[in-house]
Amino acid sequence: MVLEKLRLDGPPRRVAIVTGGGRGLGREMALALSEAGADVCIASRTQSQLDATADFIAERSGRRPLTVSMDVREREQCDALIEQTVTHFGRLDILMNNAGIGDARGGGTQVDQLSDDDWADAIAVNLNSAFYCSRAAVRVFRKQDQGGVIVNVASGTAMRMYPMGLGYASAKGAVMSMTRSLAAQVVGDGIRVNGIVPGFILQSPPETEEQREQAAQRGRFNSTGRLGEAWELGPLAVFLCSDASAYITGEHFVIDGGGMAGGIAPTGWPAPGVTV
Amino acid sequence: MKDWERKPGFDLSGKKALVVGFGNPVGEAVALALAEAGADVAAASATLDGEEVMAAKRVAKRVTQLGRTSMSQGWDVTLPTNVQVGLRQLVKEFGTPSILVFNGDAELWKPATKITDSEFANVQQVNQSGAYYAARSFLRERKDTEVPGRLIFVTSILGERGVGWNTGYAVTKSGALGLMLGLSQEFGQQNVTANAISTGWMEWTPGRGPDDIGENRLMRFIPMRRFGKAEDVAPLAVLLASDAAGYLNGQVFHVDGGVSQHL
Repeated sequence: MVLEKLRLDGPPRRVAIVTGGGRGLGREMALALSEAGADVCIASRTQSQLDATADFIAERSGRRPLTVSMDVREREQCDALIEQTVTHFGRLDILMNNAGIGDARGGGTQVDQLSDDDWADAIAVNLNSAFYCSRAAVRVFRKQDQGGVIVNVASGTAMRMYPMGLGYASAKGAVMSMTRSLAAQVVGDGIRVNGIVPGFILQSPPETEEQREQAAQRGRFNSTGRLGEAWELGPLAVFLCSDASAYITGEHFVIDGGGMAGGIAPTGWPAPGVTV
Repeated sequence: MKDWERKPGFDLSGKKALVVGFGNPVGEAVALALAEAGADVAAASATLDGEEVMAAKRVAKRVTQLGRTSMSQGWDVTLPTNVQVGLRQLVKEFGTPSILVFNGDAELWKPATKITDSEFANVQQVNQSGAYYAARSFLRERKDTEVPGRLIFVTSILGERGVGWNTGYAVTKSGALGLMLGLSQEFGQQNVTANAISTGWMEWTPGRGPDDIGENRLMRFIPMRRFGKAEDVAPLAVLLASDAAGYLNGQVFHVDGGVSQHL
């Protein structure tokens, strides 16, 4: 039955890691996985954010997430994240590589002004992080020999022109390539690897009139006439992490309100120094 | 802090759906999945082929057994008036559907130079024109824009990748993608999304060869090393049909064991 396939409460109950799980899209995806029955570990740099999100998820789903404060740019810390999760919950089934920084260092900088360090940082936080965590997770998945799921969160900026973040868009493009090739490497172990490609999504509900106006302004070029909302990633995450998507691998799920299909120019995101 | 107003991803309670096309097993699997998720589901055949019309009737009965409302109709989607009148009648008896799944799927597996005019016309009319007529009538009957509208076209990766002997079929399936893309933009602001589920080499795909991978070169190109089943497709239709899928729009989602991403 279809609805059973969308559950993550087993047996065995699935264990999921969501990097960048303290806020925004990661928080919503972690919540949705938890509500679908998974035990969840959320990881990010800021412990206070993790604590608040853990409280929120525990209150709604009845199960408290494990929190791990860490820096995904560091290989040792990625290895430790996987190890801690397995130690705490006894297994690992799902990895969502969601950590990343859209306005990373060097954002908006023209290519001839972009420093080595800023370029390297954009690659480290958006690409290396996904590689380190995936490698460590696949080692566990193969040892468990019960399959596994990896979902990489990429970005629409990887598929079209994005002058505001050369490093970010490049790293996310590489994440998409990694999704496909990694999917082919591990398919024989019953491990599926897919990607979510968000368009313009509000990370949290607009609080002020100014924020609401800004969101409305940016959303009106989209065919749905609005920006996406972070919670809309939740059901998609559950679908991709569950047996409901058993015959899907190496695939990218664009969630952008139709932006990629029709284009969303002018976006309100002009190139530096360019007036639209 | 303000919180989101989240909507359920897989609950279709109170929704009315119409599934068109029962010439392959996807129609039945999707209809039953939508019903399981809470929707009332009507079934219409895409052709007047006796077996397909009977399949639509059987599905309607099974939907009813799940405790939902249903009805079935025999359609010939190559006739736009038939589609319009059929849907108008369905609206009167069943109610206005807010979800349309189009699964019209005439097959054509033949060398390009051997396809006759009538064979080419038929596959085009069922798979491509039929998709348009069904979507157009669905949109014409749509009155309440507060209720999210969902257009889901079941297509095939054979409309996106070149495969010999599939040329005639490919034209129609890629045409349906163009239809979906246009509608996703034209009706997005009216609370309607349009998407495609692109199926891979399915158990019933003509020319797919034997099940034994040792004898089947084609299967070695499918990363998951098996052909797709109707049950593989159905859950995605539930997600796309839900109120939570309002930002999934204008996309082609492949359910294909990874084959379309293979080199």
